[in-house]
Amino acid sequence: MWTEKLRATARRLLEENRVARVLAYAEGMDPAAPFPHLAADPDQANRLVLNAFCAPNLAKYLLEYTDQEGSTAVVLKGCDWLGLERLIQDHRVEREKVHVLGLPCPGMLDKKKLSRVFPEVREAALRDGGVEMWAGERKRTARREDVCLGRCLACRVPTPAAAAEFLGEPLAPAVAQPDFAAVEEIEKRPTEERRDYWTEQFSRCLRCLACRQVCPACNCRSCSLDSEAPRWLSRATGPSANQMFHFIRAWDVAGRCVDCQECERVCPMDIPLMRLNRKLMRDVGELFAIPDAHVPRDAEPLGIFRPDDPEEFE
Amino acid sequence: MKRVGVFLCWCGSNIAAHVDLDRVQEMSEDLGNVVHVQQNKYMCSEPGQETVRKAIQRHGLDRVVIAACSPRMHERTFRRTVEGAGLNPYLLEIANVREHCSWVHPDKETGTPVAIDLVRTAVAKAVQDVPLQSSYAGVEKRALVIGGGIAGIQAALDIAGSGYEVVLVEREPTIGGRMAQLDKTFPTLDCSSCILTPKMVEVSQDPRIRLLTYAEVESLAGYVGNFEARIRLKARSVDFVKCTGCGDCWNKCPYRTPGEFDLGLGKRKAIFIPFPQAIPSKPTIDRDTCAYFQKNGKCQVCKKFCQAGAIDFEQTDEILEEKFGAVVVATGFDLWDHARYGEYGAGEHPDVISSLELERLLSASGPSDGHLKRPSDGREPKRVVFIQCVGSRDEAKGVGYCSKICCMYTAKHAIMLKEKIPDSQAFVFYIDVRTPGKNYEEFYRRATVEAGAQYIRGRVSRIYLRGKQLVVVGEDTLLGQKVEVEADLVVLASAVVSRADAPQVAQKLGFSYDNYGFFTEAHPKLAPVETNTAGIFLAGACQGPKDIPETVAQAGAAAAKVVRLFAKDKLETEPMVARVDPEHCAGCQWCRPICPYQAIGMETLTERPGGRRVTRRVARVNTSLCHGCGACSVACRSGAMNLLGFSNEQLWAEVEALCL
Repeated sequence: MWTEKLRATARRLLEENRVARVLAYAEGMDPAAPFPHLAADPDQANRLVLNAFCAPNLAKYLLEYTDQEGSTAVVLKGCDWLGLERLIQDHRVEREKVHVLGLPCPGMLDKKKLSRVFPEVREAALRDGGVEMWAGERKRTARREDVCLGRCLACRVPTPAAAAEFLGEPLAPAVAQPDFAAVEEIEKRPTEERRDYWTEQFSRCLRCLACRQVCPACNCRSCSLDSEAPRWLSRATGPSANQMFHFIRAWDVAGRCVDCQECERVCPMDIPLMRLNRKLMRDVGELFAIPDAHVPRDAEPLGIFRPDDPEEFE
Repeated sequence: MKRVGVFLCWCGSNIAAHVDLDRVQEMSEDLGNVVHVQQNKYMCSEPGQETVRKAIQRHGLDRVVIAACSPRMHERTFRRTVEGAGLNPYLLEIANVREHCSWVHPDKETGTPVAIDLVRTAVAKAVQDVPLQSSYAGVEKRALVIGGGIAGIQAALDIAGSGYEVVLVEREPTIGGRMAQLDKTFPTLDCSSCILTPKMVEVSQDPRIRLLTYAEVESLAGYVGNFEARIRLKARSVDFVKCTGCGDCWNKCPYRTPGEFDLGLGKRKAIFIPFPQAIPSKPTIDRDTCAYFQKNGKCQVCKKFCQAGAIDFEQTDEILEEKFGAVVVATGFDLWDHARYGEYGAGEHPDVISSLELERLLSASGPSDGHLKRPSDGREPKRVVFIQCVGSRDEAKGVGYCSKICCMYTAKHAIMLKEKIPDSQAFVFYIDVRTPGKNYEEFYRRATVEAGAQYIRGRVSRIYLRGKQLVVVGEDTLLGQKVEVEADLVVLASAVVSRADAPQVAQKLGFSYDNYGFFTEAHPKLAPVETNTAGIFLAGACQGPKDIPETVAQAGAAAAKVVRLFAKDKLETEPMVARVDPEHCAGCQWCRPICPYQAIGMETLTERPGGRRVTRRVARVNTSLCHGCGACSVACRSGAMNLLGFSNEQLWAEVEALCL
């Protein structure tokens, strides 16, 4: 359904020269793992797909086309759209050059969960009651919580708030209020226990940098973590360097994280990065009285100087 | 390899008594890059400096570390020292082993290791030092003085008297400020306007002073030597070129409203001059009162009677854009609103007045022509209670500080009351009587001995009406008993507070203010008239409560600072400023709102990747505006922003030297 609508829209936009390119997904070797694909002429529109496996956020790929002529159409779910807003607020992408194809998203499937439930899956559809999945003739049904991404089960922004056109009818959020239970749970633990917890988590880190690469808030031209002079951080993995890496990463997105949770999705070692991100998100929200700290705004509280800022360190 | 020289200062016994400098020397000699270490009892003395210069030449030093007092004390001295030996002055590092070490550590046991760390850190940083060069900017030799009270007047006169142009901006229709509202001044009792008005006239007659009244500074951009101000000249509805100031208009105007100058105790017309000696002596139409503006173009009496044809109802606000090299801020003060004291009647009793209201009631130009009559029924008051520290020294409801001038003006009021009404009696409730100042204590004695004022030590707990009689209830803490005084008039020495819009003014002009809204001087002792923004100076009570002599002295000091700036043709700019590496800058602009000095702009960079011409936006630092605070460099995630003299590389070298 989504795929037909997407292909027709992409072909129309390209034929009418409304956009120079359409950024969406195409089917790969594994139909249950579509990859980002760029259609630059109407003939390529038929390669595009859109289904419940299209979890990756495409917003950050826009950085590749900032210096190109013409605007780019891009398929964005609600969570992806916040990533685009982040890029716009960071002056990395021009709003005028983006044609948002908004996808009201009922939830995306989690490859990690699927690998336990139905690893051969090749097609899937989200129904009201649950999820129907097929692998050729074989069909299975599952409850959403068993196969959908955790972030989708607690989704607050299923539909982009603004788009040039929508690929479906707007959907209501799964939950209204953010749930910081996981943050509060770990906050309650004694310091020693928390330190041990994070040391254990970070010790698994391979420093593959997938979390950085996928993050719409990590959109610098050059990353200080790659800097040679000064070399802020050793390239080698190890408990101390891993810890520093995660602190720097978390602080660089503090007050800027859009809660898309892509970092956790791509982490091969299942490090609970969002526990750190959401701790900072909640603190920024509470300290600066911002109800939706994950929504990018003009003046970010950690990014402005005000003479009347309270100076609590006096 | 660098050739670093380390110089260890004893500072007499200040450092030597708490730091084993021989051990520091031994450690320093073992550090890489260090080729020479030397001690001296007073490194800042001329012989001490000479040893540094000689060592630079003899040992071919290209970096110098001096372990001595805070760089705030002698960094400039030693920069000149190394410059004298041919080194770039920014190849010097100071290790602060006095304030950061010897003064806070009791003995050599604890002090020495810290001194060693500090020297090692400084050496690591020095190795990363690079030569920095100053640049130069021109100076616009015109001063902007904001506020036309006695402080602004004095500053303007002193600057103009030194031969420079001044623009004096006052938001009211006349200059004169608070001093013009006073009747007499302590401790000499000379008439306030008699000593003020000659200065006002002098301002109006000085060809180098351009007076802009009924005007406000809307914005200030730029930097020391090169400020750009936008000044709004509010529409007066009177053509000043044609107006002769004859007074026909305000005499004939049928509309009256409570006058601001008399604090609402008297009335003024809709077209008015605030007081007879106002400068300029030409009127302004208050559009909120004037019938022409409030009742659809009716009335126009002033226009009919104006023989000069100067009334111009169509006049609009004008915007002036002017350049200045320096700014003096002299925006004055307000009085704390005593209505916040419910126990003193919450401002409801007409006969409980502020001290400034009393000044107007005593003044010959005031609403009662100088006959002291109480506001409620116009009767001459016989028993007058003065209450000190109303709002002052009261952290709970008012302000924590002492307003400084109230003790003296209350003594003055007590004396003047006795002079005006010989059979009157003054009662003064006080916490302490503070009289530090030339002839101040003597003046206070005069109030108690000659004028017979009865001073009662204690706070007033309540003022209430018993029938028609005001009763003041307090405690005499010296006798330890409750006192009740029946009063005809109660005068409250309300606290001197900052102007309500002082924070906005400070933000608009770009300097800081304290919790009370008073403008902050750059240093409480050594830079009391400077702000933390170069080229902007303070005068008068906008910086804190002050009496007239102090205000005049401070205004003169501010003028001297301005003149000192104008004596130069070019100003050297600080080379320790932020610099963007455009290669790494993503153009995210996170640095811009974080900059307290609005020093960061954007520029477009053109690049040719693969023969294709593309542009991108990157940050750019205006080095004249940058103060080198480093906020941007911390905010920059990619490390594209670097503070020269405190570069990422230098700080990293320090951290490594300290921790690894």
